[in-house]
Amino acid sequence: MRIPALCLVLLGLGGCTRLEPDIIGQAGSGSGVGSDASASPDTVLVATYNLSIGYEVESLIASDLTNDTVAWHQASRILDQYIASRPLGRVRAAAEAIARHCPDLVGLQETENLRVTSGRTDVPTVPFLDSLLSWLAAHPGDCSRRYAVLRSPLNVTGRSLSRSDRPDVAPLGLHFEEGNAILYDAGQWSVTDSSTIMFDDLLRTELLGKLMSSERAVQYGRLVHQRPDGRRFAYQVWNSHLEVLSSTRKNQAAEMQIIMSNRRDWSAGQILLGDLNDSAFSSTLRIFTGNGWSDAWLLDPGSQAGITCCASSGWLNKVTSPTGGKTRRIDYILSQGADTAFSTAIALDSFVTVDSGNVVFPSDHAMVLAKLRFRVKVP
Amino acid sequence: MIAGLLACLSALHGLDLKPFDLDAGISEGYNHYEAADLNKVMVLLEQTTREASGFNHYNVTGFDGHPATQAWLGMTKGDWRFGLEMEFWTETFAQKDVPFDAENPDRKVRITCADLYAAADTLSTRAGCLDAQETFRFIPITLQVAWMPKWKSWLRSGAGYGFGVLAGDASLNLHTVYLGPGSAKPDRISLEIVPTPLVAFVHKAWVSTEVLPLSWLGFEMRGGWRYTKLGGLEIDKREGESRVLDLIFDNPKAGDRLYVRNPSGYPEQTTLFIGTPGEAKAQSRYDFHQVTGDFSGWFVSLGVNFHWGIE
Repeated sequence: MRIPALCLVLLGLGGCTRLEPDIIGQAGSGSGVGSDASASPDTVLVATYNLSIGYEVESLIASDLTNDTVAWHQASRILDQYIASRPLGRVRAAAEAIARHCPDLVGLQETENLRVTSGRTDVPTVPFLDSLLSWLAAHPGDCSRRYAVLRSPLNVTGRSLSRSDRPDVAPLGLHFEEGNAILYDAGQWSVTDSSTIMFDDLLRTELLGKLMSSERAVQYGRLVHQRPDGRRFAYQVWNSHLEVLSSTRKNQAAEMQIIMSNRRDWSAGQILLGDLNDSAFSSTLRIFTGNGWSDAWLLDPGSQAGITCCASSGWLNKVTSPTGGKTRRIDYILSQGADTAFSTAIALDSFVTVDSGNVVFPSDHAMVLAKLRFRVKVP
Repeated sequence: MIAGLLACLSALHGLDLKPFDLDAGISEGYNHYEAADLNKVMVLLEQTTREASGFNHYNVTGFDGHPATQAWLGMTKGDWRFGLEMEFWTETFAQKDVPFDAENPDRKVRITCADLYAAADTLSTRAGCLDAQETFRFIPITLQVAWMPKWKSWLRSGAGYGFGVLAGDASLNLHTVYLGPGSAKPDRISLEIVPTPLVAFVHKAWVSTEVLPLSWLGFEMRGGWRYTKLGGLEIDKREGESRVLDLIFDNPKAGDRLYVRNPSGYPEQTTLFIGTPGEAKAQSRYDFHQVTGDFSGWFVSLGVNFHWGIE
């Protein structure tokens, strides 16, 4: 009963938004780069969604994880948080949000796979992407799409942790993966090219006691949209999650722009999805907007403030306000070649109840959606 | 030493240098330089701390010169003066109690280490404090010749030129204390940084006036221009560990060089990069400029000279 009640309140405040099938606004035009007014139009609904990993990892940086006993305690604490966050419920809630809005493409960030291989049996294995796809296939709702995924696992590590102070305690075996993904409707879209291009400027930190790079990269996919009327449209889709540290983030943004420019296919529509970790008029975003990218939210701001991140109450993401304590707009849909964006929305209409009884969003980010109309010629 | 050497040389060549004055002196002065790259490094470090999660950044006030001490040994023969000068450039920058707080990276209010220590038991994530100290130690050594005619019995005035080498090193010491439940133990790192190549050439030219109240005692004032440029800076030795430094500069190690880096096409977007030439080359989306030490600039000094007549 709590979820519908909360949703009703949020709906009243504009928090729960459902995209309407009709054009609800044409607030502006795109940059026109790559667009051709004489070409047939194609309208696609795209989304970006940082699934978040559900537990805080800052402490890993300053903890002595080379010491197995310390690492064991840290890992155990994080696993407890992970269990309490109901990972399967959160992934299902995220899947519900996707099924409800039924986008053509979804850029996903922070997709993870945490497995405990020994030492504990109470930690559920929830590979985010596989669980998401399974749930979408089993519970499509009104969404008739057949989703497939372009995977980009980036962080892969594993470790067995033994307690030197308690040799009788079984070693804790962990395996961890994290990365980006592009979800697409395999019924109408086909992939003609894909790759993952790592950034040169990466923060390296310890994860589970091993020095490794952060999971920052550009995920690229060239996808062709096959419309029911037989027309085909090509898109270059870029998906990324830029670093938190400002100087590294700006470098990664510049790198991303260099990568995209070098691979630019002028006959294809351009879609950039991601958690860019900076505000709309920041120097990070200006790297993109200064190179012809249009921010879909600015083309059609809609009735919401566009806030997408981050839940102030931490990993539990308490639903305490219309924006769930979120205060920043850092998740973006950018485009080139789109002459119109409309029906942009922040999806705050999926919830899950965790062990504490709190009702939380699936992620500490909200899913952002935009319907874009492209006019591009495909050879 | 130089006088002795010249005396030996003159003896070998049958020259009679006598009489001459054996000279020794010491002076204090100020060396000015632009040191554009080093200042850039300081600004980038300041920028990094400002942008890093929760740091109270330190302020750069400019690194454009320093006091210097010179010691001189030589000889004066007629209007000419020959000698060897050794300078001592030592400068220390210290920054104590720089707090960082990953719990609240967006905070606007300046906090202190005392604030963090007071709240250490309640910090839910990780915070800490660090002390940093950078020390520069460089020794330019030049062989000098000066034309210093005696205009009056109490006054010499003229100009000179020196040529030699500059060698030395710099060090960075960082001590970090991590606060909060389950935090890591304090760590300490020391990096020794040397120029590449190890020595650089130095040219000096100056004008000088020496007042001689006594025949054996002179007060000399010099002003001139120095040209010297270090080709680059390289980490020679690393001792200890630093989680903070390793995170920001990707585990700096012996053999790494200091570069200013910018993404190609974004010249204004510079960051400090520490790595090997191979690692720099592998980052094809960036332009690299090795940090050089340009110590060219003007100098002034005031010294006292002692002269012993050798018959």
